[in-house]
Amino acid sequence: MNLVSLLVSMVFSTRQSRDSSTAEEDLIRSQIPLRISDVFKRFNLDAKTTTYAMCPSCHKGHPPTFRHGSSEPVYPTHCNNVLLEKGTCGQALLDNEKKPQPIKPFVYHHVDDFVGSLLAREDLETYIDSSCDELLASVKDEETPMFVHDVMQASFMRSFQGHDKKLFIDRGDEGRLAFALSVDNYTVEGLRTRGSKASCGMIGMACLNLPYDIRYKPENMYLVGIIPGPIVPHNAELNHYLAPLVDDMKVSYHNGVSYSRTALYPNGRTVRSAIVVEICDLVGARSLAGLMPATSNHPCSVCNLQPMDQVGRCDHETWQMRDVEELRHIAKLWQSATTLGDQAKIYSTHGVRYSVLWELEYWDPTRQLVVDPMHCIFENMVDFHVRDVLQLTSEAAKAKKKTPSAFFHNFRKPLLPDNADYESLPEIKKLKKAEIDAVRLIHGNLTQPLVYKDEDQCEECFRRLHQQIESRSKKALRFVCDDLGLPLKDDAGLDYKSFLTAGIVQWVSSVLIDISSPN
Amino acid sequence: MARIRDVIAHTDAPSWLQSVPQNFGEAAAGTMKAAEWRVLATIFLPIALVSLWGEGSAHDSPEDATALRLILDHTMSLFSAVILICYRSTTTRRAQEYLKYVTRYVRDLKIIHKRDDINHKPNHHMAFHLYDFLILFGAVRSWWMFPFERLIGHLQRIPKNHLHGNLFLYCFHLSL
Repeated sequence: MNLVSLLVSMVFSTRQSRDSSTAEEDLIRSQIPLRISDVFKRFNLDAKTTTYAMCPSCHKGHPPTFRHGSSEPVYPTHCNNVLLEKGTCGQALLDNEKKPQPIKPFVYHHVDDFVGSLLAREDLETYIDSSCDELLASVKDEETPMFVHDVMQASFMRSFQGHDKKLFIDRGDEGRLAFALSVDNYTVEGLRTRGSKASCGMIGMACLNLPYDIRYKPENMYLVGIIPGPIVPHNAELNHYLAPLVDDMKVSYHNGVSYSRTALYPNGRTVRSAIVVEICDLVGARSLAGLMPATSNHPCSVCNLQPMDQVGRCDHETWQMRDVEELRHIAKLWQSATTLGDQAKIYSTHGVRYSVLWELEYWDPTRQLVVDPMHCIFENMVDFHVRDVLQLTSEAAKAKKKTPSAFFHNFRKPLLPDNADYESLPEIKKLKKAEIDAVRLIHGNLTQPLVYKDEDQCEECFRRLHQQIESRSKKALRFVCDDLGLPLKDDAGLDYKSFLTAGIVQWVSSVLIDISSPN
Repeated sequence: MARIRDVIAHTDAPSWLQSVPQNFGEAAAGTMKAAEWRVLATIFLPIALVSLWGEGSAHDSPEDATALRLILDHTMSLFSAVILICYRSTTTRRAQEYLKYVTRYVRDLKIIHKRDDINHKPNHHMAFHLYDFLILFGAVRSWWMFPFERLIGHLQRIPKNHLHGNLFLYCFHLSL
């Protein structure tokens, strides 16, 4: 933008030598927007958003109010949320600058605005309507397709009811939109060795009416809002961030939203939208639905599986689904509980907390809260199987298999130099660190199993053993010989090591013969 | 390990296939992404493991061969389930086959691998419910998290000079 402005000024300066610019030129220059947000505003491309001031402590959202004729948002200065057993929260919401801004701003992009932007495009509006019509036609003909490609063909949408108890896709003249909702946390500063430093949350939606290949294009995905970090909301606090969206979705489902003009309907039309499926990872799903985590006593969001030790059960046909009406009832009980103790009691017995999604009367966590295959299968089960079960990692491959010893002998272990008795040892038993290691290696060589089939191989084995042992240090060899009670003659030059080794190998062969003979 | 890396390095793969680290299994390869696991589990690992443990492979003793064959069959039931769930369209039959393989995998996990550190995890249970959702919502690609993870990746890459407090509005505009 600055570049455009600069170019324009350069054009002006070349046209009229160095005279001061005219008022007209100043006007043109001042009209060039300098920031991307201004450009969006100028071309009416900016999204209609509301910035909520979230409470830094309890996460309650505070919508802005506007003084008459002013576009300056006004927020309450302190959080007015009434917490159970604590009274009013009272946390400061605004910073201390001259123009106070929310400390924890949450920008909510209005769902009606996003739907409006979809309906403003002719191709998208055609897709949205035709997907409903095709499914309705197939339901009316009572045909079930052999191959199911998409949500808009599958059995859930075939039975999903609208506000009037007719099928949701039975749209009449209205528009009907099915959405997938996803809530996930992500790290903003990258991962550190001790885990993530700061996380944010993302609330996103995708319109399932659109064909698969254009549904997930960035311009067709709906970013509801970013949950500000660095600490993501816990437990029921997430509800405050979803509340604006759920309120709008509730109105949209029950009353419909009227648009004064869309691409195909210049005279306006009514549109209803619904959240059909929630896609989250295992942790996110539970906090979104207000259910207990997967490692708790209520590990499953779909069925009535109770304690953790039953997760290996395989009798899928006999599993009982959780009762949705009961869940809804318990969630409302939790919400209306008057003490923290009551809430904790409800939560620990039933594993259910209130989730703002219960406000949607069609919400059924047992059917709409899907298990994400990406996390469940790829990142978890395959990962677990390959790395933990099969141990296909370099680390495990490098770890040498421990060969079992051929026999056990109680070798005397040399004392370490820092041992108190070390000084009083005779000279032959005083070993340095490296020599002590050598002794340990000799012990290992001696007890290793020797595999041979005939005389030649046997000879070869012992020759190799001889080599291995002879390569160790002289003092270590003397120590071992002394331990085994083998003859130690005085140091006699070059073949002394060879002499000691021969003695040790002789000892081994006699031990091995003892073991292998039946008596 | 060497065999797996060999397979990864020398298999002729179409270029649209997500590449996987050639130093698979090393700490330097980093955490594997879900998409990489998918490619490994459906293509490279079956090729490598079948050639290592399957028919015609050489082992020290017949007991080893039978044990490895069991492990291979068990592993392949997991991989079969992965392949079945990745289809771009579902049928009732495919979903049932998926359930069959998952059941076999979860049932035999503790029978074949008798180690203390191997226990069933909640995700083993949730995998059964994937069958229910396959029936309810059809092919997984319209309800898995990959597109949303991509959106997150998009958000993470927006330059913000490590100041993300007041820039949410800005991020928001850029991501629209």
